[in-house]
Amino acid sequence: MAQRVKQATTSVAGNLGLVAPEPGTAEQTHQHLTFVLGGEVFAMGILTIKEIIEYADLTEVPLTPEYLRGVINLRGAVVPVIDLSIRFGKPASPVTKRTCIVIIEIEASGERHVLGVVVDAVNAVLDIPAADIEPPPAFGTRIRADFIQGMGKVNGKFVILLDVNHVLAVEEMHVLTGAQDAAAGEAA
Amino acid sequence: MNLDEALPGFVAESADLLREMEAALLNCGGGTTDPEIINLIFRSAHTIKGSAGLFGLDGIVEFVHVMETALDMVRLGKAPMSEELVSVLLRCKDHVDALLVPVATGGKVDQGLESSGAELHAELRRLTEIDGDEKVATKSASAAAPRAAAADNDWHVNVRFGAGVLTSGMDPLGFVRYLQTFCEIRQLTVLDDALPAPEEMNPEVCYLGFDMELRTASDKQAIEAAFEFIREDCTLVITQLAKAAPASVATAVTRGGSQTTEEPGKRQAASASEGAAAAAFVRVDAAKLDYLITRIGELIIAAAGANMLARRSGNGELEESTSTLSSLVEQVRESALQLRMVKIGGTFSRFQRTVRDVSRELGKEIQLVVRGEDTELDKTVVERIADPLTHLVRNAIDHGIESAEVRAAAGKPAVGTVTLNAYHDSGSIVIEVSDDGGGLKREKILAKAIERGLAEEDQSLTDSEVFGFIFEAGFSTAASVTNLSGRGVGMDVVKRNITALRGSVGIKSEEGKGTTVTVRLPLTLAIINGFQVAVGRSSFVLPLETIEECVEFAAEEGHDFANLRGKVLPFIRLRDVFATREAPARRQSIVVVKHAGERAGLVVDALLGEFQTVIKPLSKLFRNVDCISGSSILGTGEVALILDVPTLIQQAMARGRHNAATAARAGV
Amino acid sequence: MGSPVQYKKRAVHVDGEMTVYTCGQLKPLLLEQLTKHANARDLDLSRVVEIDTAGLQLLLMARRHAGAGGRELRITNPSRAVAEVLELCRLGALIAPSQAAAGAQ
Repeated sequence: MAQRVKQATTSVAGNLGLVAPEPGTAEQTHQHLTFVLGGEVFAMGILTIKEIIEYADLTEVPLTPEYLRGVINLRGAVVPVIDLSIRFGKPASPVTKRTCIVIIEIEASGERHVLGVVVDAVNAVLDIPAADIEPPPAFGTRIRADFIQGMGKVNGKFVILLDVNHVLAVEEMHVLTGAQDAAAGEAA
Repeated sequence: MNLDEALPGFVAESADLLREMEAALLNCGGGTTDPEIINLIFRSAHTIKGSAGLFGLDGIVEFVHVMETALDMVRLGKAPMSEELVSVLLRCKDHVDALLVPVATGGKVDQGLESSGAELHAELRRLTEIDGDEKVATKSASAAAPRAAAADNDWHVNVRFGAGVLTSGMDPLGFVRYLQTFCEIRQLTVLDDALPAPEEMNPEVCYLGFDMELRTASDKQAIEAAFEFIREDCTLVITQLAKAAPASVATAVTRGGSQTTEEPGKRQAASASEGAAAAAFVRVDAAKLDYLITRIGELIIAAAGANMLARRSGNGELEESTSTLSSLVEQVRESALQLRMVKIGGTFSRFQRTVRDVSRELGKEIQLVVRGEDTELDKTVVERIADPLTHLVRNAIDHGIESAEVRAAAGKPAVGTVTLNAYHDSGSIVIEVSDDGGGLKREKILAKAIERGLAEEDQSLTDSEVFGFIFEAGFSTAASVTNLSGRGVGMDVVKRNITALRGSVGIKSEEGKGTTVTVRLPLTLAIINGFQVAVGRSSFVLPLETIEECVEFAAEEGHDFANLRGKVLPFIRLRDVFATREAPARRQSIVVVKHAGERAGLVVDALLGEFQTVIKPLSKLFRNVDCISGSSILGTGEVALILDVPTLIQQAMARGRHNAATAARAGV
Repeated sequence: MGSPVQYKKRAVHVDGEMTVYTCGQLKPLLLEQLTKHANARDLDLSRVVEIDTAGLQLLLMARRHAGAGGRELRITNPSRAVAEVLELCRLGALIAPSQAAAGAQ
């Protein structure tokens, strides 16, 4: 799996005309994938990223919250896909040629979960040293504070580093799924 | 071989052996002298000890060794298999189970376990040694007695041992000694013709064989069983000699094919093929099997894709070759799934212990009757059904079967009966847990349901609907209300577990006569025959076995039911259930589905046809989405959702009840 | 104590276990002694404490080796363990006649 991470990031970096950092030599924890969402740049640590795939048709699952875009077939595994824009309370972005699905693996309550997140475009794999990471501000970012791990300084600008485990908190989302479902059930 | 890698195999194998041992112990019920059963128990202990030794698990070796010694005393007729010894051995079996836990998890053996082990050892010794002396005389007398009996038969036994027997720790002479415990060895020749020249002889390789004539009251199986430990490592030919009692011939015929009248050459062949059958089992890592089945799932998807492209290409030859391919893939699928099929008997036999323990605990006399043990189902289903079944069996004993006094007053036999039954029914396996106890009290359940707002006062409900309430969350905890209230976990958990396996559960009961809980499960969790339908832009899969037929959509004016050849068919509009946004198709269809006796129509936009598909679990994120039981991948690579027909029908029925009640109230 | 297989008083003596654990060691020693003392006809097994199938096999080999040289090897003074195995295998005839009664008890 570690192999796949390297490949994926390499290919993304390659596509972007960047040189992928030598695996194992660079401090992996400092490496972040930057991407665009609703015109804004975000970043997340690459350790949880398995691969990045092109956006393809997905299957909608009825009676689920809007941010659950549906499911895709990832080489035989059925993987749920989450729309980060909607999760952040913004309108869904239109699908373009640059729209990607970032496949992420996280652990929640002892179980492994593989999820996809839709982003408008991926930018680059960047090294953001710890010294360049500020704690998140108490307010002013327009997204939930617990979604933010820190503020990375990239070329003199701040980039929001997402806390993937909170953004994609499986337990929380599943409770929401249930709530939505119950509401739908009552309506019907 | 890397021992660490083999360790899980050891744990699994030992667990199997312990289960066998338990079943045999429960089977022999004290006082048995049946060498087959005693041997089986002994063999289990012996094998566990041997394997544990390989892994350097000294604690287990030490403990099992004493068990083995005790069992050996029984085997040699020096100690009786008393009721008490059976109980101690059962506790020993549990103890070994407990000792295996830290092996499996990598934890440590706790102190309490060690001291209880010592206690069990002391009891074993007391029961097989101190008592030993006085019992030996009577025992050996009784063992000797049948030898003289008229039922004795003479057998010719020719056995040659595999080269590796000695180095694997077996001593062929030991088998001969053991035979002496129940046979009279009338003649014996050591076969040394295979012994090479002294210079070439490897002293650790076994070259010998024995040719014997035995007289015994035991049957061929018993003689064979003596060689069981090396069954795969020896050539064994057992033939009955001419002087045979008719009864024994019959058993020989039914059990192993008659070997009394044929010429020797044929006997050899028959026995050799028997040997081959015994050796024809291969123990396979379940993970490898799962991997194979997953791959075959991919193969099915890929084949469906190729098929679709071939059809689209219009190339006849290509179409033909892909369809040949598909039928081969289907055969491979069948046989692969067959590999993972196991008989449910193994699970059923576990309940002998449950029944024994629980009924003793409660002071009730209960017998367990088991039917359909040979019914097969997928290993993955078996593993996950054991817990819900245990719960149902405990419930039947605890709350189903009445006390002896009540039974006597009702004119029932004092011994209560719990029955487990399994059979196949249209692509499912049905497991029934029944008791001949007091049955459910309909009125009380209904009252409770109304109190909890699950039913309306003036609603007319069928029995199965009323009894179905006990599966509602929190319903069964009120012990005073139903005869089937749970212990710790409620019936709602049972139902949830079964539903999670794409199964369903129903209940029938007659007050005073008993209760039957029927669990219906798919045969396999991996692959289904699906029927694809479209609703709006989404496509869904229905398990083919739930579908009766498809008809053109035509509703009775203003109602949600159709006229199906003169019968009322209520239907569910899937586009309403799933809040589909797109406009309905011009010509909709109704798929007629049936579940557990209920028939309903599902209104869909288009019928897309049958196909075989692999069931893929849906992420936990969708755990609370009812009506969808899983997903599958279409030939195009797209994901389709599998509809949960039972839930769809139940929800529709619940809505129906609700509406009826509302209407009734409005009418008042 | 030296070799477990020794020649003394016109007999080859085996000492200790004759089991799968020792036969690898015993075999060359036994062959060596039997070859060296081509006149020896007696195999003294009075000090054999344990014998299993491997040991029995070794005895049969020794007899065959001697037989190839034109002599019949007899077992003398079988220990209890040896006597039991020989009796079990109906091989009592291997014991030197004068010794048979003594060994059987």
